[in-house]
Amino acid sequence: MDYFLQNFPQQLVNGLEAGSLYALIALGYTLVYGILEMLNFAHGDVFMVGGFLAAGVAGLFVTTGVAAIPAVLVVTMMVAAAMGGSGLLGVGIERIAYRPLRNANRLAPLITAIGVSLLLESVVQVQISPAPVLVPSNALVPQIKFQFGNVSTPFVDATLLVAAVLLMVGLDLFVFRTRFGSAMRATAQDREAATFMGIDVDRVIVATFLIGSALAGIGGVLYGLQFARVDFFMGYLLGIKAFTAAVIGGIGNLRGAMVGGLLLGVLESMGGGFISSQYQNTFAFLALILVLLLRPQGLFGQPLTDRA
Amino acid sequence: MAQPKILVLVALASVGLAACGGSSTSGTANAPTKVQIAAEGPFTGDEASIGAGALRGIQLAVDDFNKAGGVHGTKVELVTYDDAHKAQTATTLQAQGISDPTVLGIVGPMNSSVVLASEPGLQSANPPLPFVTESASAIKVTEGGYTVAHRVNARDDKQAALDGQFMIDKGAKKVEILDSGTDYSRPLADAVEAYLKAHASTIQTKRDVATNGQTNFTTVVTNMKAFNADWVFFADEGTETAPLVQQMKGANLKIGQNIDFLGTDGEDDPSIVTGSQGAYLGAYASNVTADPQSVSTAASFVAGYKAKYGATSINDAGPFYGSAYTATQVLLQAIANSPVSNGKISRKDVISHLASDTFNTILGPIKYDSKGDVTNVTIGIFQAQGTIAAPVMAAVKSLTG
Amino acid sequence: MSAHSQVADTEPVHWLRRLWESGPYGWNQALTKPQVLIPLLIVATAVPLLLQYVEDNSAWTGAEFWIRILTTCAMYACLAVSLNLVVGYAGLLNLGFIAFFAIGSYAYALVASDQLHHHLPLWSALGTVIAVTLAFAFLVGIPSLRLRGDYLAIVTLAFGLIMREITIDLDRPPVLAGHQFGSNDFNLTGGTAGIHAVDPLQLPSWVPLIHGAALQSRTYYWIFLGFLALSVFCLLRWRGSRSGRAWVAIREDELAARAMGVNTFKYRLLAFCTSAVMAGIVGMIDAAYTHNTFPDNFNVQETVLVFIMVVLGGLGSIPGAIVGATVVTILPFALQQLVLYKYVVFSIVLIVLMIFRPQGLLGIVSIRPRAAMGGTVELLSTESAIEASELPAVTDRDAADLESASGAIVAPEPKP
Repeated sequence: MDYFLQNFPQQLVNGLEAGSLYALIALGYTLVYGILEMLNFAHGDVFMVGGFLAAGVAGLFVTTGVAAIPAVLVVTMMVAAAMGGSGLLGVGIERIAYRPLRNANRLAPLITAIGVSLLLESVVQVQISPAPVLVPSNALVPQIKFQFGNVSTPFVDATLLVAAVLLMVGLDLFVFRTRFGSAMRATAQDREAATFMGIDVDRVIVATFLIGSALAGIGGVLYGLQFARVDFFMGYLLGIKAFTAAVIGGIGNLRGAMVGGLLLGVLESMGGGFISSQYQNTFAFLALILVLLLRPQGLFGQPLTDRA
Repeated sequence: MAQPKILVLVALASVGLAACGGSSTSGTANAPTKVQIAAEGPFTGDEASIGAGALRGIQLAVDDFNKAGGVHGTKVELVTYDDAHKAQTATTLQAQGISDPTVLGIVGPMNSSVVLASEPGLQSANPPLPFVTESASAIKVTEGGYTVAHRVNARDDKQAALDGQFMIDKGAKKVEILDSGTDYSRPLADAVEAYLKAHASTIQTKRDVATNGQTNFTTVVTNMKAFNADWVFFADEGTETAPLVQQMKGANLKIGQNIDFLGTDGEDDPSIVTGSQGAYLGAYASNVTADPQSVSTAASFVAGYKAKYGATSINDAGPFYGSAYTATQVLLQAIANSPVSNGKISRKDVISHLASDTFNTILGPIKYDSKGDVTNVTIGIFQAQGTIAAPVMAAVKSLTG
Repeated sequence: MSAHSQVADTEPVHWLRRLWESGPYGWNQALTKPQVLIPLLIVATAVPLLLQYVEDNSAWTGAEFWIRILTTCAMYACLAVSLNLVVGYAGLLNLGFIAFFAIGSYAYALVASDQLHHHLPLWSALGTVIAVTLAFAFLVGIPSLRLRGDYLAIVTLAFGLIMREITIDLDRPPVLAGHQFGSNDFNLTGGTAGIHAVDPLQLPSWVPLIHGAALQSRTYYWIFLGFLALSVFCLLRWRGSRSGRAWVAIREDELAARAMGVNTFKYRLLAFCTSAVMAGIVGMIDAAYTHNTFPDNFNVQETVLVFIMVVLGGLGSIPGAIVGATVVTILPFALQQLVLYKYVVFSIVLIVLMIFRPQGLLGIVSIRPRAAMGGTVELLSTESAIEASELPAVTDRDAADLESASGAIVAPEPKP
C-alpha cells in the first residue's frame, strides 16, 4: 500500500501524458467516424507521416545537435509542415480512396483504409528508413523538468498534455460555436437531411478529414519531440489504442475522445505500474470490453437506438 | 581480438587463390555451373528494422566475394527469402531452396523461433540444406543435433553467463532485468536472471518488460526508480533502447552516474548513442564480436558498406549487418573449399567443410564445434563511448570460452 | 484455377456469353453447381500428383515448393470461406478472426505434444479443439453480438491482441501486484518461442493417402482441400435451410426480420461461432502441418490478409472467397523478386481494385452504410437478379428467396 501511495502520483502523471497522445489521435478518429461511420484505419499512419515530415524539417536545421536558427522557429516550421502535410494527406486519402466508395459495400472503405495504411507504412519503410529516424529534440526543446514533490516530468511531455487539452477545447468551440461546426454536427446527425438543408456535405467531409489529420500531424510532431524519434510502425499500435480510447469515451463524441484517451492512459499506467507490466495492454483492452458490456455507447455517447 | 588488417587481406586473397587453384589450368573444368545461396530473414514486416541492414550486409558480402573471383570463377547468385518472421512462410520458401541442388546454403534465418521451426525440414531434406545464422541466439538451435545448424553470434547461455558475471564483478546489488517480449529477448533475460540467482543470491532482482514496438516506457522507469536499482539489464534487439535510456535520463537516472546499464548483442550498436542523443553514453553491451566500426579488420567492410549504400546507411543498419556479412563469408568460404564434380558442388561437402574448416572473416577467425557454435568464441563487453557525433563501442573486457 | 475456362472448354460459346452477362449472381450460381465444383475438386486433388509427374520426368525441381504454396492457398481458402460466412452472410465485422485460428492451433498443440504430455488421437484432439474454440467464441460473441457492427469490430480486435499477449506471457506463472499465481514450473503456452514438435495428424489407417509414418506436404494439402470441400458443401446446403434464409433476412433488413420474429441474436451467434470453430479446425491442421504454433499466429495482419481475400473475391460469394484466397496467397510468392517492394505493390493493387470494383470479383452482396440502423442491405441490382432467375441454374427456392427478400425491404431511403 505504501508503495502504491508513494508512486501513485508519478504513475498518474505518466498515464495522463501517455493518454494525451491517445486523445489527440482519437479526436481525428472520432471526427471521421461521427460523420462517415467509418473506421479510418489509415489515421494512425497519417500521424506517422506527420512525424516524419517534422523529422525532416528538423534535420534540415539541426546538425550535430545544434540548431542553426532559433529552436522556436524550427519547431514552428515542424508543426506547420506536419499539420499541412498530414492535413493534405488526409484530404487526399479521402478524395482518392474513400469518396468513390461512399455508397458501396460497407467493408470496401475499410479494406481500402487498410490498404492505404499498408501502403504508407511500406513506402516509408522502403523509401525512407526501416529503422527509426532521429528527431534532435535536445536541440529543440528546453531541457527542463517540472518537479512537484517527488513527481517529475520533462517539458515536452507536459506540453503534450497541455496542447492536447487546448486543442480539444479549441475544436470543441469550433464544432459547437461556429456555423461550420453546426454544419458538421448536422452532417453527422443525418447526412441526407443535411443536404436538404443546403449543406455542402462534401465540403464538410473534406474539412473533417483536414482537421482530424492536422491534429494527428501535431501529434506526430509532439511524439517525435517527446521520444526523439519517428519510425514507420509508430502509427499502428497507437492507432488501435486511440480508437479504443474513442470508443471508450463514446465514438463520435469529441469530449468523449479526450476523456477516453486520458482515461486509457491512466488505466494503462495504473495496471502496468502496480499490477503487472507484462499484461499492461491486457488491462487497457479489458477496460474497453467492460465499458462495452456495461455502457456500450461509451462514457459520453448517446444511448444506442439499435441493438441486435 | 584485433587482427592486423594485412593478415585478413592475405587470408582473403589466399582463399581466393586456393579456390581457383584446384587444377593447373584456369579450370572451367573445375568451375561449378551454378552456385546460389539464400538470404533469409524478416526483410519486411514488424522486424524489418533488423532484417534490412542484414540483407545489405549479405549482398555486400556476395558482391565482394564475386569480385575476388567467386567460386573458382563462377559468380555466386543470391536469392532472397523474406520470411517476415513467419514460420510457415519460411518453410515454404525454404522448400524452393531444398529442391534446387544449386542452392548450397542459407544465411539466416534471423529469428530464433523461425530457425527452430525450420531446422527439422532443412535437416531432413535430401541432401540437407545448411544454414549459418547471424542473429538467432536461442540455445535450442544448436542443441538438437542438427548438422545443418551454424551461427556466428553468441548463444544465450554463454552471453547470459558473461553478462551476469560482469554485473556481479562490478558489485551490483539491485538489478532490474528487462526484456522486450520477443523470442530473442525473453529467453536471454530469463537466462541472466537464472545465472544471478544461482551465482549471487544476495543480489535482488526485479523483472519487467519494455515491450517491443512501443516507445513510452515511463511506467517502467518509474518502477525502476522506486526499486532503487543500481544496474539495469536490458535484453533487446536495439529498437527500444534509445527511448528507454532517454526516459531514464528524464527521470534523473543517468547512466554512468547514478545507475549502470548492460545491454546485449542487439544493443552493441553505436548508433544508439546518436539515437538517444547521448543518454546511452557509458552503457555497456555484450557481444560475441565487436561492432564492425570498432574493429580495424572490418574497416574496409564499413567503408564498402557506406560506399554502396550511402554515408548515413550505417545508422539504419541495425545490429546484425556485420554478423550477416561474417556469416556470408563463412558460408561462401565453405562452398569454395568444397570439391566440384561435374560442375556441381554437393551440400554434404559444404556441411562437412563448415564443420571442419577455419574461416577468415572481418570479425576474426571462426571455427565451429560439433554443435554448430563458434568454438574460439570471444565474448566481449563493450561500452558506448565517444561523442554523439562520433560514437564508438569500445572494448572493455573480453572472455574467451 | 479459373472456372471460366473450365466452362468455356466444355460448353458452346453462346451459353458462355449469357453467363457472362448474368453478372456476379449468375456466376456464383454457375460456379456452385455440383457439375462445376466436383470436376474442380478432382482437378485440384490431382495437381500434386501432376506436379510430381512433371518433376520426375524433367529437370524441373519446383514441385515441393509449389505444393507448399498450394497447401498454404488451400488453408487460406478454408479461412476465407469461414470468414465469408461471418462477414458476408451475417455481416459481422470479426477483426479478431485469426485469434480463433490460433486458439485452435494452440489447443491442438497442447493436447498433441510434449507441452502438457498429452498425445491425444485424432478424434479426441478434434473434439478438444472444437470445444475450446467454441468456448472462446461464446465468451467473445455473447456480450458483443448484441452491439452494433463496429463495436464488435473493436472488441474482436482487442480480443486478438490480448490473446497474443497472454500467450506470450503464459510460459510462467502470472505475477499480479507482486503475487504469483501458480507454481514455478507452470508453462502453458511455451511463451515467445511457442510450442514445438507438435504431433502430425494421426489419420485412421483406412485413409489411402499416407505414405510412411511422416505425412508429406501433399497429404496436408489434401486434408485442407478435403476440409474446404466439406465446408463449401455444408455452407451451400445451409444456405437453403432455415438458418440460411434467416441470414438473408437479417442481412437484407434487420428491422423487418426482427419484426417478423427472427431471433437475430441467435443467428448472428450461430454464424459467429460456426466460423470460429471452422477457423479453429484449420488452426489444428496447420499446427500439425508445420509442427509448431507461435504467438505470431495471433497477429492482426493475418486477419487483415484474410479480410482482403474475402472482400477481393467478393462478399457473400463462396467461389469468390476461394479465388480471393488463391490470388492473395500466390501474389507475394510471385512477387518474391521485388522482396522489399512487395507490400507497396500489394497495397496499391488492393486500393485500385477496391475503388474500381468494390464488390470484389464475384461479390453478390452490397451493404449500404446507415447512420442509426444495424445495416440495410440490397442486392447489387434487382434487374440482374431477375435476369439471373431466368437462367436454368437458379432453383425455384432461390428465386423465391429473392422475391421474398426484395419484398422485405421496408421504407426505401432516397439515394444520397
